[in-house]
Amino acid sequence: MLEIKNLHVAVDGKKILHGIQLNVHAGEVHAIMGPNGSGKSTLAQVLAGHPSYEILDGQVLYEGKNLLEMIPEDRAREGVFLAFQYPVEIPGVMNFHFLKAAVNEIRKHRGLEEMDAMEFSRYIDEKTALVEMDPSLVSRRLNEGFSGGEKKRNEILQMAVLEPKLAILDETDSGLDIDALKSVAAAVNKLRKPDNAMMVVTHYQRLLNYIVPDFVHVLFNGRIVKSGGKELALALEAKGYDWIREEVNA
Amino acid sequence: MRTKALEAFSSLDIPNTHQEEWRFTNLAPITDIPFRPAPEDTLKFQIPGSRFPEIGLDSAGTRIVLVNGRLSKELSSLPKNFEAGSLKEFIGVDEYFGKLARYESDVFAAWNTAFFEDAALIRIPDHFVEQEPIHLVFLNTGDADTASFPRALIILGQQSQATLIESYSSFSGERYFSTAVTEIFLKEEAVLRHIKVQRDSDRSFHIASTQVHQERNSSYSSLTMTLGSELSRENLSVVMDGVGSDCTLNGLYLMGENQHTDHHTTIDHARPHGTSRELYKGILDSKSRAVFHGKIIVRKDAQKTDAEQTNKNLLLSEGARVNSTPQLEILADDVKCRHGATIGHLDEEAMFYLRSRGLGESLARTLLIKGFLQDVTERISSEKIRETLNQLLDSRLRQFTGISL
Repeated sequence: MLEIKNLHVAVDGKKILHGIQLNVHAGEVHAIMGPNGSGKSTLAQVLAGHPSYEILDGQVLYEGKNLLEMIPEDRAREGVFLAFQYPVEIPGVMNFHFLKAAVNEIRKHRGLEEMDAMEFSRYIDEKTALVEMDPSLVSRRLNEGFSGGEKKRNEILQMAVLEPKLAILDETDSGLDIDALKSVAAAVNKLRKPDNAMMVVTHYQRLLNYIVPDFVHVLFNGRIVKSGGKELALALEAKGYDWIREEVNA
Repeated sequence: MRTKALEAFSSLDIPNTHQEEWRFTNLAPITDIPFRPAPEDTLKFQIPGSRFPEIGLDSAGTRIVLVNGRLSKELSSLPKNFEAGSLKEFIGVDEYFGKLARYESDVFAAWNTAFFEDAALIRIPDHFVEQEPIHLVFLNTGDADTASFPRALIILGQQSQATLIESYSSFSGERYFSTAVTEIFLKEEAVLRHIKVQRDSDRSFHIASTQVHQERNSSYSSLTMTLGSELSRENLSVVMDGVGSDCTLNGLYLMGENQHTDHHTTIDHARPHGTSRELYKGILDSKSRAVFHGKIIVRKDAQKTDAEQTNKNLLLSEGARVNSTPQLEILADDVKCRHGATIGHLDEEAMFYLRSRGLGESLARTLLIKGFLQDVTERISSEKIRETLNQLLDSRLRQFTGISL
């Protein structure tokens, strides 16, 4: 589904990613771990098409198409979704209207008929129930005045509504207490399907107790320096990132 | 009054940009054109279909329509339970008419006062509550290089209530000139909700002076929506001349191309325990310009005044400009006064966030712009009026972003 080949990226003239290699297939969950400043969020933002990043080298194929040449909205319409680490507050825009507009843009792109307000209302009710979210989130202004936890829940609700093929979760656990973490993870697990894939970007292993990955990759100074199964996350939890640092420097 | 106004008009010069009050608005385009009076013979004038439902031409309630500043009986629908119509047909308004307009010092008020042909009068009796909005419609036939002088006098009796929708529009895209004067009196405990919508031709000049006088415990709230004209100036001046009155001034301006609009507001807290709230928001595209000048005066004995003023602007292009100036003159010591102004572009992170959900660039822009305006439009209490005004905003926004919701 996703092939990242030798990806080099800079922001504001500073090189952040130094040749990322990664393959993600349908049905898989990949955890991207690493210390602060290793380039995890950069990787997530680049895949979603954030305009601030400069691609220096490399290629990203998504379902065989050149992802890096696509504008952000086309990536979303083709099924790429980024759950933001810091979701943006959009004053004055109702969550419901925003979600309806997003779903219809995607449906139009896929040659499906647009949903009217009635249909969409039913659809969103199903989705809020599926991910066990408070339905009142939908009638509020998009992220405006939301608590940290509500913002993260709203990201997962968007993911449920937009039904992406490739979901990238950027530090979805940050700022969540353990109960919120469990419920967000439970919601994510319900969205796991054989024909979609997830990349879970996280600093801490604890999220991976609840969203169990098939593969774990350690990002360090803009490179993937170690890959393994879910036991790698446990080793990191036990030994910290210093162990990796020493291995890399050796 | 006419004589005095004519004398003032002859002796006063058109202001230039060296004068503080006109620093950012250059009137040269107006002074260069020899305007002739707008035609009087408007009897043949036909409204093309129901082209202006949004400004009350198909409303069931009261409708006072003036064409080129003269009452059109054919187009108006006058009420039976309060006075409304041409000022000429009513008596007992001498103590009000011309008492607020500053025709001795303001050249445009003098111009209007010297040359107006007719004036609209709306007078709500004491204790009378009018539920339906009253439409005051100033239509311009839009003949090129003509000048007209819309004029209105609104009097709300003690404990009366009304909603007034004052609108300006034309069927032509020509260059013409309107100099409008509206005087509004609120007696004790009167409540007026006032909406002014200016949709004159994009090539026209619109200079308006709205003067409001408030008595004790009265409540005046206004929304000024400026969409039209190449060059417009809105002077809105409220004297809170009674204890415990409140005043809310809201404004929206959407400018594109080479449009220029200038909103000068003055809230004069002359008595104690007054509350004023002011929120003006503007959207500027292309090479348009906006000026906001918000003056708040708190007189020496206007203790316990609570005033708040905000002006926010969103620039959609690199070529657009805004000059925003608050001006506070506080002579009392026990008062609360706050003000703030912002000028910014669309938030890039917000744009990316929306696009990352599949929204195209222009739809994302439209959503952000509408969101920006939301807190002004949601203050319109009547749902029907809110929807109508939203439609007007949408159709204007469509010209900026190419997309509607």
